[in-house]
Amino acid sequence: MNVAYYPFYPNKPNYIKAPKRKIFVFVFFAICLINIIAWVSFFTTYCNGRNTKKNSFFKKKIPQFSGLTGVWRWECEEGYCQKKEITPDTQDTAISLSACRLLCSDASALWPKPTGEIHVGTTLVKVNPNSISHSGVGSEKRSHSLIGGAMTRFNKQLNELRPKTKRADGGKTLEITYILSDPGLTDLTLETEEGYALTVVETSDGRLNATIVADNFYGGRNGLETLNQLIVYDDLREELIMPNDISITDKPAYPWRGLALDTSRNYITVDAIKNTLSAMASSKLNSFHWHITDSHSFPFTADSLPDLRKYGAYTPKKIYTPEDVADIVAHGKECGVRVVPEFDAPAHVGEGWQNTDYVVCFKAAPWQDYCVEPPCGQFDPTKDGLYDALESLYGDMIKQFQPTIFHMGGDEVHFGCWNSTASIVEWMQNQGWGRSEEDFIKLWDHFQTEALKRLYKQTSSNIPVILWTSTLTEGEYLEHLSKDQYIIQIWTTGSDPQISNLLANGYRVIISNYDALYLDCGFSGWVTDGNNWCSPYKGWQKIYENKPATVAGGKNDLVLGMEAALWTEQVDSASVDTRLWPRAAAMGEVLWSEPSNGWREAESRMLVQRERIINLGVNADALEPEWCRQYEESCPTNGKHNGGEYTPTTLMPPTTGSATKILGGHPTSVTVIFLLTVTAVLFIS
Amino acid sequence: MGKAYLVLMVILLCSKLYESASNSLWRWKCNQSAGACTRVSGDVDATLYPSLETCRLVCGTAGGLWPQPTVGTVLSDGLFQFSLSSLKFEFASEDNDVTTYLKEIADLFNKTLSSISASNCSNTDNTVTISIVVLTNNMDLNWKTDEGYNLEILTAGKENSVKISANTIFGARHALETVSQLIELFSNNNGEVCHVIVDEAKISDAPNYNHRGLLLDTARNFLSISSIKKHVDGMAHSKLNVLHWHITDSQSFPLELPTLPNMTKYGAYSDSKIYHPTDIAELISYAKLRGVRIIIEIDAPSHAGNGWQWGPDAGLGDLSVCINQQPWRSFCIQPPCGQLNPVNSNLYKVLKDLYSDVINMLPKGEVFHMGGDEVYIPCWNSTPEIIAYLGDKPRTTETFLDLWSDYQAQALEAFDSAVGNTNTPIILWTSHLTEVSVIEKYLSKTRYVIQTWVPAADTLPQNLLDLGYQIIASTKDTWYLDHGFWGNTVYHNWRVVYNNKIPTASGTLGGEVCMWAELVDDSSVESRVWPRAAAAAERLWSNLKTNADQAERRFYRHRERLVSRGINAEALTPRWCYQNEGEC
Repeated sequence: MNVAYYPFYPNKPNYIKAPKRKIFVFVFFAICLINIIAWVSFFTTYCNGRNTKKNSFFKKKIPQFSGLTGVWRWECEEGYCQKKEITPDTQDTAISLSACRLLCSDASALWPKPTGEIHVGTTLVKVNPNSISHSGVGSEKRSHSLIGGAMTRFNKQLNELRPKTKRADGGKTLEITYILSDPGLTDLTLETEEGYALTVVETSDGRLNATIVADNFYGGRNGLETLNQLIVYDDLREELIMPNDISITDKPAYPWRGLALDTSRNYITVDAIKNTLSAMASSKLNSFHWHITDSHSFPFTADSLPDLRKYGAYTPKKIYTPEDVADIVAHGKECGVRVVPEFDAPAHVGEGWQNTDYVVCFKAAPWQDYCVEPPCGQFDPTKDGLYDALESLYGDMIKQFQPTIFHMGGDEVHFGCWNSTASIVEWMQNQGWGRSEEDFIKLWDHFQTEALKRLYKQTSSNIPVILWTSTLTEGEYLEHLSKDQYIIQIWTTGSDPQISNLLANGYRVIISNYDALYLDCGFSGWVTDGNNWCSPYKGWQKIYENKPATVAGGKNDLVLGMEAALWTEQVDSASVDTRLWPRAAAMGEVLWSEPSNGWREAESRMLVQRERIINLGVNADALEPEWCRQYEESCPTNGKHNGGEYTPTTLMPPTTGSATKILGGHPTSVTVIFLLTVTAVLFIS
Repeated sequence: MGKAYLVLMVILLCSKLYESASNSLWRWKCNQSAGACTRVSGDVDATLYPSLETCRLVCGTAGGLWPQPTVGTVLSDGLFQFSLSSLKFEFASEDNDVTTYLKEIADLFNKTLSSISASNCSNTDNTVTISIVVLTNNMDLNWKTDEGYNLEILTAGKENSVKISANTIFGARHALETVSQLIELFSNNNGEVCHVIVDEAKISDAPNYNHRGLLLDTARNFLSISSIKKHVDGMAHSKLNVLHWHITDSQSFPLELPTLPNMTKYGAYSDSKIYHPTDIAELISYAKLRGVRIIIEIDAPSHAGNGWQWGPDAGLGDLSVCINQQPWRSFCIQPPCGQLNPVNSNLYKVLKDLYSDVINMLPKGEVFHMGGDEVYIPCWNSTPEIIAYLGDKPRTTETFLDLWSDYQAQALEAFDSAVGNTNTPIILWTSHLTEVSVIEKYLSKTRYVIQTWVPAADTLPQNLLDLGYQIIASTKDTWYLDHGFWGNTVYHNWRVVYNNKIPTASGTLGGEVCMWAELVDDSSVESRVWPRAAAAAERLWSNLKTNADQAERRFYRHRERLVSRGINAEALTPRWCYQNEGEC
């Protein structure tokens, strides 16, 4: 038997209006029930009143409704959920905010919004989180354990939805079947298909069957993430609920949906990184770019070069062991996220290399003359031993990360540093070079060419390499870099002409324009007074409006995607969650769904996504007062439930005429009618 | 006594103190004239400290103390190693309440130190004895409380003694806070974690301002009790002493009132987002133990909406008007709207009950904050009941200000009748009622303290002082911690917060940094408030003539201290700059 959770709703496409299906007999019983409640309520009030010394008059309590917690329900009005008081008339059809969102919100409040078909039925059923099973990928398949890991996360999250005291069993069984064309695939590359089709049906014996069809684990995982978002906690009836009829097809618009995190300026704990990966999974972001070292510290453990960490870590505890890296990479896969290591060079090196002579200008003062931020440090490309060391380091990184793509940094080389180093100048003279910018570019190119050769000695194939934009990627210097090998990550402004130059020359790019995607902006300066260089703070709205096609001057397949970056000069584990989230999720939707709409249309769903991230145990920043979540579209000045366009009002009241606005006035007290009914029925009985 | 001798003495006392730390390559050297600790690697040297933290304890005139003591600070550069288990307290007071308090803060002191890191020190030969003398039995924390103290540390052989004297328990508490900042962890050569304390010190200290506050708003978004406690902890460690609790607003009413249960029924975001009277009581005693008083604000007549809907159902008429009215820009400053109905006489009966309930939760005589900001006349001017009440009066701004001040007078009367006397100081925000030209007409300077929230350049605070009003300064363009995340506001970095100087005239009770909560809740409020609130704390306690640059090293240290004591304070700089003082 197909029992609907909300008996008044099934098969009614217009769930907004509660259909009247009351039968007189039911009405009679309902009145009796209300009677009992009312009297209980009355006695409770009365007794409480007697215990208080005064003013029991004001203590009149609101009636409590059978089986419901709280006095509020939500109603869908024009696609947005509005908070309403529960009355005897509405108690049977009262729904919670979370249920309202499933039924009412744009795309059932999914984030990112699916790009294909979205059908979510209007019958919500209770689901038992302790009775969830999955099948379809046998233990002989390579992605079996990844599916297992993803399911563990799924189950854990569902449990977290419910308050600890309210985790009673009961509800329908949920069986998830994966149908993967390539269950052997375990590495996420630029070519991997991440789409999926998700269907949920209820069987005749009352079980929920979810089927996820995808090419591989990564698509399957994305389908599971969507399913997860459609299971919500109903706090009016204190149970997990979900629609029993779902059909969604979905795939991302861009293959690179990234987040860069710096762990050198300040150390970020392994737990905080894993939390970050979880939050990425919830927004279907798929690339974690780990800026693991810089001139400030070297927390990475290179087994072949142990001094790097010994000298370079802030403290012996602020390190990443090979086990930590393996843990993070494995967790990333379960979250559908590739972990991409960056070894930034030839600039941005320093701490850790003290026992070598490969780094020049280390801690040079005044730093402004030798680098862009203290402490300075830059590789000396003329030292042959450097390349042997790099090969060892690359070897360790490849071994630990098993990356399908590698980041070589390459930003902010300071020619003043090289130019001030006698041995380098001499070496250049011996090459017959001068000391112009062009000559230093040659030196840099020498470094990059040699370094790349050494990287490829350690990889089984010539994996793509990412470089930041720099002088080397400008104008005619670009020819030093092969477009088949290199992907260029743009970190200048979204309107930089360099972007069109790169695209015109056929380079694949990842966009990280700092004027929208640098999440560190807007806080204290640390080398100057005032606030930091890229202030102000980039709100999520700004990030949502930063569309790849706009930055690239049109839709372009060479744009692999975008990456938000968190440089950690002024962040460590204490506030990293808050800085990343929920803003990175805004970019997640931009890249997955490629929405044509602006942030305003996405706002209600974004507020829900923020709550989902909180539920992961990630301290995402608040975006608005909670009131605005409970009365959707009531806060924005042109919000749908904000009475339309705003017309400025002056402090001075009008001098003539009467008031323009008459208060709606409270309806004749529902409670009075209610109590009268109760009394009447009592007399009758 | 020469510094070198002191160091030598310490080495003798704590044998092999500096031969340890085989797990770290680095040592720190104190350059006393520059007050900087420099990281060095290399051989063991008697003049080197094993960690930045131990170097910072003693380097420079005020070491790593925050806020900087005001009257005098002398620190030796020697350290005395000990085990927490060999630390004892002695209390000279006879008074029972005082001794109980001292015992409790001693426990807290031990808890704070031991929670930072497990110590397994076997050195029990060295002893530390902290003796506390409190000269009065006064248990009240208010604007007149003497929070000053004297502190002396001496070492003789294997005995280190810390002598504290203060006029009140609160001064003694601050002294202990200072002592906790003169102690660091230390890994000795036996692989043990011990503590070290500065071996000789003499500090005399008292605050510049008696009102050193942090405002928390729990109405725009709810903050859990455990989150609020974290803030109280941070305040204690920074010697802030007033938690101004903006507990309600038009968005929500999370304060449960025994007499008026409908306020939370209608006004709380959810059943779990309510402060029960027991929560308040617990928090007040929690705060008192940490030298912090709690001032409750029930903002009115504006900023009062959700929670006040029940009047008509109870037969009392509209207690508040324009509740949740749209479009909100026509009826209030921010959504949702709501403004008390000043012409409904039932309102004042309800207010009296409300005030009674709140007063019952507070220490006797505690000041109360009535809010009073941002009354939006178009709301009242569009309410038929109010228009009818005004009758033939011209509906000018002045008429509405008169109406507002009538409200204020009746609210005060309700408060006074609830408390049973007319002595309680009432705080109000600056508003149209507090304009220099009209304030004396509307508000008595003996009853009201004015909290100013104008920008630094505004002369209003000084003007009010000149008129004889007492003020609390919350300079909005430096001390509003929510700025930088909305509109055209700019984030006020810690230097800006630190450099904000407020009037020094005696009518200035102090100041408050304000955490309005539209854009924060439990998940990000700690990092938004801390460590910036601590920057204001030094301004209010020490009010040094120097600016933030001179305070940087101590402040960086204090940020780390807050984190190690469990507060998710924002990072200020790459750790490299913290470890390499003065190089960034």
